[in-house]
Amino acid sequence: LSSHQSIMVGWRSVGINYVRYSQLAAQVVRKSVKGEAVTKKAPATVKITKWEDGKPIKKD
Amino acid sequence: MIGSRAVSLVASSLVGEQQRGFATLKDISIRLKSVKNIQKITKSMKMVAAAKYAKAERDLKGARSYGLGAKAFYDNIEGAVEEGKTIPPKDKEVLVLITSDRGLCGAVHTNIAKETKNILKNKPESQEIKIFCVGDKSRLALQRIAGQHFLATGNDIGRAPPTFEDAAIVAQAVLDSGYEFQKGTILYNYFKSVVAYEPRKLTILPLEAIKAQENLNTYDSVDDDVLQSYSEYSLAQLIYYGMKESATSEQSSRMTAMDGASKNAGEMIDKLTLAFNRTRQAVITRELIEIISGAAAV
Repeated sequence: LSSHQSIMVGWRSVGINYVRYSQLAAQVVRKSVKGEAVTKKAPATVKITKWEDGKPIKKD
Repeated sequence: MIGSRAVSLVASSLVGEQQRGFATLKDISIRLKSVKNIQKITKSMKMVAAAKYAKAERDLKGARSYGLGAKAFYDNIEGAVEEGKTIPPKDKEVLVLITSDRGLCGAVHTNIAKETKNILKNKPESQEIKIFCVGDKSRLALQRIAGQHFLATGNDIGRAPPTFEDAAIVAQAVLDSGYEFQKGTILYNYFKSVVAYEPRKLTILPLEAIKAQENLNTYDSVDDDVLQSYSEYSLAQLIYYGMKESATSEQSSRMTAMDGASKNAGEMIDKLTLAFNRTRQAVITRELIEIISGAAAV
């Protein structure tokens, strides 16, 4: 359990949360799968724009 | 001089009316053609929506059991709300609206916007609600009246079926927004059947709020780390579930809307064809009268 916990603390201490962690894990798994098990992933399309005081913040 | 002008005016207006009579025939045929084209478009849109709906419904079966599993955790720790009792509102809430970029699908998006307006209208003065819009439709519907409450918006969604990756990006954006909410609500369209959907809410709680729940002790051996990770992950889970439900509702609603539009176009075509034929007959009759009376006058 201790090693398991230290891993957890490890990725959290570099400032990533579980959503990002699982995204990265999925990426790694997808890359390492070979042969027929490789499934095509539908690409994500959503784009996020932040808002402040009723106005969108334009990205440079 | 004036008199002759008046006569010529009357004459020209008569000519104008005659020309209008002739032109109506052309006008009607132009109208008819455009309505027929529109009907073709709505019919093919309906077919496309039907195909997309079939796929979305298949996807939803898996997503629903997945989503309900995630929801069960929050239902369990929050406990059943007794009748007549209301949960006191939290000071800081976030509202995630699940819509899409595309319209022509009945009232799915307006339902979400209406529900949001209701929530904003009935909130206590002290409460702060921030809105996270997924999909251009909810943003457009709300940015004029509630733009100052916007936290962030997401667009470019709705063309393809939503993926978990999309949900993860949204969840990530909610978590990274820097807004420390005490309670989150996901507003989505629950898919009841092909002809029915209704806006529903999913509750999400951050770590602190989960720890404050008394019913948490139904769950064994959970520490802060696990709970923190789970609350983050279940946000993505529930957003994914909401997206799938909304997408299915949207496609089914679009199907119904386009079916209605095609039917209405059909009715218009019938009426216009009738009007067209009547006008043609009238024109022919009048020409005959002109010829015959012309011949009789000779």
